[in-house]
Amino acid sequence: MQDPHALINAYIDCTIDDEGFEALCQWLREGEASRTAFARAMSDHAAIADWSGERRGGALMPELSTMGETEIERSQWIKLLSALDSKPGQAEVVELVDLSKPGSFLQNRSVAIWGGLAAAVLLVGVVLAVSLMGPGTTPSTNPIASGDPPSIDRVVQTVATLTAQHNAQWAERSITSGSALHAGQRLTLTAGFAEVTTHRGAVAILQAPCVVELSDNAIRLHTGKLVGLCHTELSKGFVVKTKHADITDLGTEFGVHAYANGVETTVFVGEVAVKTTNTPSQIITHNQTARVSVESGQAAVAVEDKPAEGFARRIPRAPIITDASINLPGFKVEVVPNGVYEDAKLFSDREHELNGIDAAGLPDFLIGGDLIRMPADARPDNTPTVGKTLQLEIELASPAAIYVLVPRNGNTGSWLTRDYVDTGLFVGCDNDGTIKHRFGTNTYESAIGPGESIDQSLAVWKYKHPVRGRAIVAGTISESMYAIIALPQQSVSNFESP
Amino acid sequence: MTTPDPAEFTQYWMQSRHMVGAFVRGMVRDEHQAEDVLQQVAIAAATNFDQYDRDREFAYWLIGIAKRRIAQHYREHRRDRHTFDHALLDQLVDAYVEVADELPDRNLALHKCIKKLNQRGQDIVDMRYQQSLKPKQIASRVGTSATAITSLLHRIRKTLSDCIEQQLNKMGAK
Repeated sequence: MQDPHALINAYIDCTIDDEGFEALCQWLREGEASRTAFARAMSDHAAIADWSGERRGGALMPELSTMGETEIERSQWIKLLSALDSKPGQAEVVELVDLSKPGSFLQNRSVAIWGGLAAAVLLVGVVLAVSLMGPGTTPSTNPIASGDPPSIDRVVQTVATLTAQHNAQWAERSITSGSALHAGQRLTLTAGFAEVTTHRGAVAILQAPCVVELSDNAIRLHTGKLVGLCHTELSKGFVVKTKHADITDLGTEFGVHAYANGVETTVFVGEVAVKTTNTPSQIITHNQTARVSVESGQAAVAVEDKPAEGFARRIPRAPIITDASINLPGFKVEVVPNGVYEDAKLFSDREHELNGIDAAGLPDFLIGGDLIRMPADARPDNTPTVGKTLQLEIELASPAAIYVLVPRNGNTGSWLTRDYVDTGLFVGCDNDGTIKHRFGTNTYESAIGPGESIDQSLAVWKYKHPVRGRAIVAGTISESMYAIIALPQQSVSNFESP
Repeated sequence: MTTPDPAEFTQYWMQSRHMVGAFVRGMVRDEHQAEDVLQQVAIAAATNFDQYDRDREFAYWLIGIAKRRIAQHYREHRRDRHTFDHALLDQLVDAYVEVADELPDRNLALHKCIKKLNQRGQDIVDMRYQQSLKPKQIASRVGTSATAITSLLHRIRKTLSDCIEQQLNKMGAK
């Protein structure tokens, strides 16, 4: 009997022969102890592979960092990828480097990449793809030693980039932000959030658990939730394909939830077309939700005039504001991490809601920001605080861009014009409840969604400089209160602030 | 309409992912093919999560899905002669479920141990796992024989395994 550990190692390294494999099976059949020892050994093997995958960051082209290629060769590679990436969806002939060039990195495993590419040119006729021979699929003969042409294992087209992620766990190897994603690539997000941006500019926020497959300007959502954002001209027509319906963007922001026996589509901004195999295309507009249910193979679409809940419209991130306080006792200031979204409560002592000023919704870059809810009553024209000067002091975990949402009718004094610049943007405040004021009372009822029931417009001003540590960022206001939003100074995602 | 609870699925998946990952990688040695199978398992589990009977152990339910996918994979890749028969596959399922609970600690221990490898050991691990080179290719790279690399990999795994056991004893996990 051979050493079982040697057999396991040979099995792992694919060097086991028929006789050895039979001996391994024999040993495994001997008893439970053998099988648990095998399971432990294989779990260690898998864990080393995972550890290596994490170190590699899931890059599909690890050779670039490990093969010691020259800068010229690196630039050729980058140039080639750039050329392929720059014209998604269009056929393009790429000038290939000399495959037989001696001494280049073509003589190592990257030969597979270039050889595969050349073969793809010949086979497909038009090249849109870079062929990668993935690690682990190396043919049994060593291409370096034998000079045999490498096999074409994968023909892939870069169609998207992983632009951001938060606490993301992947069923496959981990993928780092900035990784290129390829047509046909399947992503299984088992925890957290991830943001994928197609080369046409469509953005998909994936919310675990979620399984998607990528293609040019389309994503197949096998299961789970995503939010699609299509704000560029090129991204119009972006399709989310599901088992039971296709959802086509018509210039919009929408959520899709695919599950075993149906699909739910909700539109936050704009409109989408929902089409099933047996129902005609149906337009769903903002604040509407379409639910496709399937029974006996027949799909039915029910539309409700209400947005669905539970969709993450932006990737959550660690809180930026760690503390906020005002100098007037008896008033509550609330800090809400990632608290900026449609219909978010705007003040600590009111039910008023924040909304887009019109159906276009809130400005993209503000969504997901940390919100400071001020007490609306903490104004110098109110009885308890009459004549007192208000100061808002905040503490930040990291440098941040600070915005203030100022009522048009608010008298802010000098601090606003001294420290802030007007972005020219407006958001809406949808009042709710009974408000007492010196002239009497007003009763309001809020509505759902952007542009609905807007009672006040708020101008968006930005602090002139990034704010760090502790700082006093706002002062006294009369007539109506403001709200504060903090955003990371440098965002890795698509939603850069102006 | 039954909508699976994503948070619940995530919780279950996170608890069993090491076990199912190890099982799939153990049965399908090609890294990319193993990843494909693992993805198929995750998809099948997520889409059928509403059918999961909460009275059963999730690890068993999940590894049952994995076993069916692996059997399907074996049918589609008949060229690989070194695949386990159904009876042995069933017995191995039990073994993996048996060790499932200890895998999170085991992985934690491995992360500590792997950093203790000497530079040469780390280089070999990098080539074998990070670059997915076979022993023959590593041998060609470092200018030695495939047998020497096979032997070295064997020793590295043995060292890691011993170190893991020591770490687990320290952690009181066993």
